Amino acid sequence: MRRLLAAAAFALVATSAFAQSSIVNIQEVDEEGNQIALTSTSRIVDINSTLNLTIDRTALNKYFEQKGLSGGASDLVARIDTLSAVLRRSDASLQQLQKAFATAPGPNAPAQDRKANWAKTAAAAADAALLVRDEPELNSYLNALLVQDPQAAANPVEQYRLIYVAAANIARDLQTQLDNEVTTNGVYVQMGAWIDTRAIHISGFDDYPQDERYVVQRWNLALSEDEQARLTAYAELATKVNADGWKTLLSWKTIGPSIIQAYLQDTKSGRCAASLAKNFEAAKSQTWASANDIQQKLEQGRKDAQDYIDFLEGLKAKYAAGGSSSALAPAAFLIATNNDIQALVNRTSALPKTLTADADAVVKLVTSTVATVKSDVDSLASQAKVCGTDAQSDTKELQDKVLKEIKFLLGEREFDTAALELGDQVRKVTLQQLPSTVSIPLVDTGRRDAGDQFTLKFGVGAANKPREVVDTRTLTMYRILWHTDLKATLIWADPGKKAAVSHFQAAPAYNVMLKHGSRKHVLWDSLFDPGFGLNLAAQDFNHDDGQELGIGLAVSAVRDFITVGYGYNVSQGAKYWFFGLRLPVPGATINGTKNK
Amino acid sequence: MAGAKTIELPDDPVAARQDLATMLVDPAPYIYLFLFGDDAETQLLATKADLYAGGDQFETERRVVTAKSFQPIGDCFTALQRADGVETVNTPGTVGFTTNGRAVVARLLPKTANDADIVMAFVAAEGLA
Repeated sequence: MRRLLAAAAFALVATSAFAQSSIVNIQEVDEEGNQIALTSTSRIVDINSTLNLTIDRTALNKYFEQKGLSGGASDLVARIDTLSAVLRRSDASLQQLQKAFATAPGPNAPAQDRKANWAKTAAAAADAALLVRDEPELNSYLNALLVQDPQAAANPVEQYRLIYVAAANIARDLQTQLDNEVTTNGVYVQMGAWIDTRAIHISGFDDYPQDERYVVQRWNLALSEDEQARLTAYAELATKVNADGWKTLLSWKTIGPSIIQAYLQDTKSGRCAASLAKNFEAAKSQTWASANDIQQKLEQGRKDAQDYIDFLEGLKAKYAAGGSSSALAPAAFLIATNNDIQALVNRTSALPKTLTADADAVVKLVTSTVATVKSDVDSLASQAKVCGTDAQSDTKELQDKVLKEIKFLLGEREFDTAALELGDQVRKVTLQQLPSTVSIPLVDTGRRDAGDQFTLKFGVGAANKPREVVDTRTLTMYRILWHTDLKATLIWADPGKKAAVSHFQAAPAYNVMLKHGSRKHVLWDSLFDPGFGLNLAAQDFNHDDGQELGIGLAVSAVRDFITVGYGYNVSQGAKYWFFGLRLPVPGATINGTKNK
Repeated sequence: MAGAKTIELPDDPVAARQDLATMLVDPAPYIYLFLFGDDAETQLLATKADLYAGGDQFETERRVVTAKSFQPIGDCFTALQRADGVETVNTPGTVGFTTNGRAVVARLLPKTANDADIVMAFVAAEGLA
């Protein structure tokens, strides 16, 4: 009866373990050497950490069994399960035994003490006793260990240790047997990883090239190019605000159109389409194109290319200073912006098919074998293809930018991980080739930014069954450890009555903030992102157009969108308190999102 | 000569029973491994069992009890409670067995026992609640 109960208990433990655990266990080791076990509910990882991946063979075995991939090896799976469960507790069990043996009260102790001692010993030895009772191969494996040095094994604690060593050896050999059994069914596994949508290399699992080494600097004190551009824009904005008043900031004529304009600057596909439209037009006057049907097809090509150009020009005009968008209310502007960006993406992604089809239609109609004619037509076709390639590249860039903007507004960037496919370069690994642990140093995965997502997929397939992704883990990379963050901002400083002017003065500035991320709260990292540190401002309290250095202590929040602090104008000897806003500016992405 | 952890039961059944009466109680003073026989193989097993009980190197709660013959005192053992799945102690081919802290028979030892059998018998007794 007890045996049945014990077996049922182990089955229950094994079943619940499978239901709750992932097949891939991830341990994070950060730059400071901290080791963090990332559970299936973990969502955050430090951007410079190393991820150690271990395949949970017990969970994988269970999957094989559930899917009928282990053939008739159910008994093997059950034995490996039991051994694995016992081995996981072996260290604790040995410690308990050592303690129980060391505190034994002796044969003359009161009956109660002896009873308590036997109970304590029995509890500590229960796992080993279970193996003694149920594992048929324990005797031969244990005996092989004992006879090597019986004197050394005279210590009972050592005997228990050897039982666990024997159990580990049995589990290993049973796993090999199971792997062989499973491999005969053509079973393979695949593992792939991505940074956002970019596939990255995992040693032993794919043929992707090693990505460049890129360490996100923790103690960076240099402004990035993006921040420098933003600082320049803030300097111009500060001048305007100081001259025209703060209402300037509420005018979408100043700020709004610049956001979308940044997308429309001279796209490759736009240039190519314009050139193609001209070439279609020029071709119409060639002798070989005199036939009516060819003329029609050339005109169709010209029109399609020109329509796209017109669409781009329309958007440019709409969002140029004084354009129709500037008359919109802020909310209507945002909606229109979003719609226009989506339309831009859709039109650009449709462009390759349209242009290629137009050119192919002309090629089909022109049957002339004259070399110059053939050359003209082929040239049109190849240019259409080039425009298509450019459009694909532009579409991806546009989509990336749109995605970043939208996701920032949502507070967290999310990807449809279902769209990430284990590609052709991901190897099919047999179970014999499966390493016990594989490391992915994130610093070796190329360029990353805070908020990027690391996705891992583990799939299993068989000769007669399609591959199934059985485990997907997604972690968002943030700067968790203490770090500095430099961000440009526009501040309003109130110098009180100690300066030439007593009202708020706008000034370009930047924060040097000390920050620490959260491993548990995504919103802390993605949105709240508080910091404390210095604010350095280029002020002009006396309005002589000469720069005055202002240094302040400040706190910031919402990815530096808001800064508040107290400072000192070194040149004027004036103290001031200030607040800052990180406003969107032309040519830069909205607060905190990234430029690649 | 008996090892440090070995108790030799007297040949006299009456005296042996008196000794056993102090051993086979709940709670028992020790975890016991009983061995029966006076042949060389049994002697060798007793020597090994003494070693795995800690010999003269380790203080343990294990003891090896030897008797030249099972028959005269067999009734002391056949009456003992047995753990689930454990055959009776007089099962043919059996040279001995272990008892736990409640004097329950935990595991039988075959005449062909190797080193692992001895250790496993002790562990089965210690792990039996």
